[in-house]
Amino acid sequence: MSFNATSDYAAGNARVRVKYSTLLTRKDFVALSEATDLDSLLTQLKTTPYGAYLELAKDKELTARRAAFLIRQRLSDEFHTIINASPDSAKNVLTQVYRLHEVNNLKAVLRGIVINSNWDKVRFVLFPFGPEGVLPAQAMVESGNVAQAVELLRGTPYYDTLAFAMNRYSAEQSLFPIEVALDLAYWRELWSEVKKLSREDQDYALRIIGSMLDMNNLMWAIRYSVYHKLSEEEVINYTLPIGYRVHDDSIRSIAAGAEITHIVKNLYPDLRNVDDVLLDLHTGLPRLEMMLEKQIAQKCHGVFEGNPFQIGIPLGYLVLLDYEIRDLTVLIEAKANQIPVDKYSEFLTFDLMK
Amino acid sequence: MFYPQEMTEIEIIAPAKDLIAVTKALSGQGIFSQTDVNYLGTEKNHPQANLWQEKAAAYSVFERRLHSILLSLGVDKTNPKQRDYDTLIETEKAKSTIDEIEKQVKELVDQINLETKKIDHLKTVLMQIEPLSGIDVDFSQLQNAKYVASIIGIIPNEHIERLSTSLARIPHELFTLSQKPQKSVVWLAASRDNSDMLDRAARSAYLDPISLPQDFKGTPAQIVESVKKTIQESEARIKELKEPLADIRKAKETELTDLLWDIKCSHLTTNAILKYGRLKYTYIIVGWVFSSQVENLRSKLKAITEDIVIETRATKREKDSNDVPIALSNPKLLRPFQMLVSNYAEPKYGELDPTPLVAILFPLLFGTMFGDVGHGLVLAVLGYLGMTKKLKFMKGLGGLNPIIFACGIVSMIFGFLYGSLFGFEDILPAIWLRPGESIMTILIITIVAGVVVLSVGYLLNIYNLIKMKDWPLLFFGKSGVAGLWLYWSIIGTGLALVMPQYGLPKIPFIIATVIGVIAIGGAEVFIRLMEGHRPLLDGGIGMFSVQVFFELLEVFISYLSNTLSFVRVGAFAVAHGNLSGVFFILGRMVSPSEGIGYWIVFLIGMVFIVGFEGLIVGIQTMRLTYYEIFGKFFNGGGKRFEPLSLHPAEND
Repeated sequence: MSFNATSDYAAGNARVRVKYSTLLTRKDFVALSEATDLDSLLTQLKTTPYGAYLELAKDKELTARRAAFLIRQRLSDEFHTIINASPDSAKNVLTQVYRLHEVNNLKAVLRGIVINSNWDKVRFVLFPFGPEGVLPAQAMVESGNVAQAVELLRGTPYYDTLAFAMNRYSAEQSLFPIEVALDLAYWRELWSEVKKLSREDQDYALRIIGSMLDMNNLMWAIRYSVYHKLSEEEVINYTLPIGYRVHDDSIRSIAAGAEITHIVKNLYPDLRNVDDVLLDLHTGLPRLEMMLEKQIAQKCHGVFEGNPFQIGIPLGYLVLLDYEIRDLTVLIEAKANQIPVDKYSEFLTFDLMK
Repeated sequence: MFYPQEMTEIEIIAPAKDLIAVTKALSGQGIFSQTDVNYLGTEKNHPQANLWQEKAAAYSVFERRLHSILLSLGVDKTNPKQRDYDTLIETEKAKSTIDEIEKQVKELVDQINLETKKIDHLKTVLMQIEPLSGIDVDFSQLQNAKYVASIIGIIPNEHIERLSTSLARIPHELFTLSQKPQKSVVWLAASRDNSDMLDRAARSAYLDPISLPQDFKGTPAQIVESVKKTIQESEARIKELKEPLADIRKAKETELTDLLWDIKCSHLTTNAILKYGRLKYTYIIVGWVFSSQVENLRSKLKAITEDIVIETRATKREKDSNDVPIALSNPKLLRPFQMLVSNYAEPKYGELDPTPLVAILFPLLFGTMFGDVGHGLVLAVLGYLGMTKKLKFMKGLGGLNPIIFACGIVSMIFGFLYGSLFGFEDILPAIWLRPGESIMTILIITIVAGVVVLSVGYLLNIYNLIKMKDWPLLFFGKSGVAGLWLYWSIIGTGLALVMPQYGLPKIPFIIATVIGVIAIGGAEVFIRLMEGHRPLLDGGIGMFSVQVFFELLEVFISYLSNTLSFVRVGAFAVAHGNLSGVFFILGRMVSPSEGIGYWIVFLIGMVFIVGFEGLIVGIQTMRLTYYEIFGKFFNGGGKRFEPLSLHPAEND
């Protein structure tokens, strides 16, 4: 632990620790899941830190879609606060992590254009990214055309990536190559930012970001092979040669058609019931993804033990908050549609059945 | 003037038959800001349920098509002629007019686009081929080889290695022919038996093949020559095609701009209606209106129909009135400074509008740092010429010109106080002092001024909190009573210890400081106690102690840094005179007899000082205003009042 790291992270991380204590507890989650309907869920949620965000809408306006939209604002606010309070080296990584939401917004905008949706519909599925966002989202949707929308991104970090992918889009009229190109470029950029950190920070960042990249890379490889039936060379080109625990030889084995269960068990020996989960790959893959996300959540909690002056603390908190908001969105949707707990609990990072 | 304009929430239930007239009345004066309440609609099976949606979509498409036509004709689409309107334009009528003109224009434009695309493509080919001119190989032979399948193309640099990996199981060759920071031109080759795999790998690695038109054959150098010739032919063809387009423009320009205006109005009206709640025979309209204009709007709406229900709800300035839109209303003289406030944040509804304070402090701080009669005069003249739009390069600064003018005037006043004219300090007598000769005095004065300004900031925050009845933050907030108490206690203790000659009592100030430390350190507990929140401590006493330690450290550091920040005001006042002195020395080095060379250097110096130093002083003033002053009492976060207006030009 260097003196620099101590002075850089002291004040900011102390605050993050306080924020960490405001994450919902098991008791909170159980109580929320026991809510009889959407109204009672939202009433309970108003007594939590999400209350201030839900209060932004009047009770009669608070539909499931609106509530899910409003609570995401908390993540946006926390990213701003934490990025501003972080040292310069960490700022770049945290900002890049934050940009994942902008990449997702970009994909949502392009999907909106393809299905001829209007701005009033698209705006509520977007993450409230804030003023530093570079997407002219409304103008893009209103352009009504993917090529014109991409032209509006000239001068942004996305343009070069999209310009290459647009050649494929024009030929195939599918957003798949665009989305893959965006994902690959995003994770490459994030990885290179992580590699610029000090050795100690890099170690903590890789535990979380590396695990997230591993999960994505593995899921991409399996999905492209199993769902999309892509060829070996395509799977390799649509995945990344970098990773924390999942190395390129595993990805290449999957691409070459090796048995997936065996590879997953080798990569994650501590995961239980992999055989059962992957018995049917089509239904098992989302479950495997949730299992891996739960492992990432554990890693995020883990970084709060030990050295208090490192990047893992803000990073871990933000990832946990992201997962928490996603879980709450699942709960909100489930309550709005009166889905019983056993049907949706498997889609929660927070394990209600434990 | 000291608060954002008073707002009233208004709910209107209007009969469907008067919808357009009501919308027009609401949008006519820029006094109504709409709230989206389309979720209030209960009549999903209403025959008109999708009508407005369809109309809005149709107008949107028409507007886009018309813009595209106008763009093709080279008409300035941003200035349609504004006319009054009473009804929405009929979609069928608009469609047939647009279809007809589009048909005429499209054929020509398509041909021009075809030629333009051809030129673009050829230019891309040229860009790709030109770096390869030195390679003496026939490309067409390479591409048509019997046993070798090959692709020449452009690929993002980061995909090159992965592409090679993806083909590891077959024999292949991947050559980088030229490389730029983002992308490379590569040649990928393998046995023709593996051509499918080669294609898949290239496509999935985003390798964009360079497609050479069939007509071009030979070595890269020969292809470059042929491509250049074809580009010239296409450019000549485009010139020919543009002539009939100019004729169409001449004949149809007025008709098209009028149509664009009608469609714009109809589009904006339908968009507004889409945000209304829809009942069986009526529509619900919700929004905000200036309280002073409620009766005016009410009478206008009642004049349209008596069957309208209008309900209004005045809003109190409370801390949770976050959804009230903010419109600042300052006298014309202060309005330029409003921009500085809005640039930072819009105040909340219950919050003081800092514009009057900024209008005083901003020029004052600037003038103190840039005190010179001559340089101030130059700034004032530049600002004036910008305001009156007589100077082209100042016109671009828009709303900043009045601020520059005010800063210039105050700089002149301080110039008289400092006795400085274009840096010469021996022409005018100093009414007050010369900063360069009284460095310590001016530094101390600016620190004292900083203490006063910061204290005003604290007092304004206290006033804000009293108005918003936020008692916990009033008593224990860092910028509340406890914060001001601790700030003054520390200053008192410091003066009592460091300057015993003034006879300030030490013990009472030390006790006051301890009380302040307890109030700020335990603020979280006290605030929770007052708000009735339990538990009082989150995370146990250990975590609380760490948090208190860092909180207090931050408070002490911020007191010190905020106060010392004002030293820069004195430092710049001193630096200004010295910087001018440097140019006098340089001038004498160029021309010891103070001839023409001396005055040229003097002029360069003046440009440098007014331009560069003026900019730096402006930035410092803005920093002091935003961080040291606003930080104390101004939170912002209000939502800007966006009036419903059918006249985009007026709205701008």
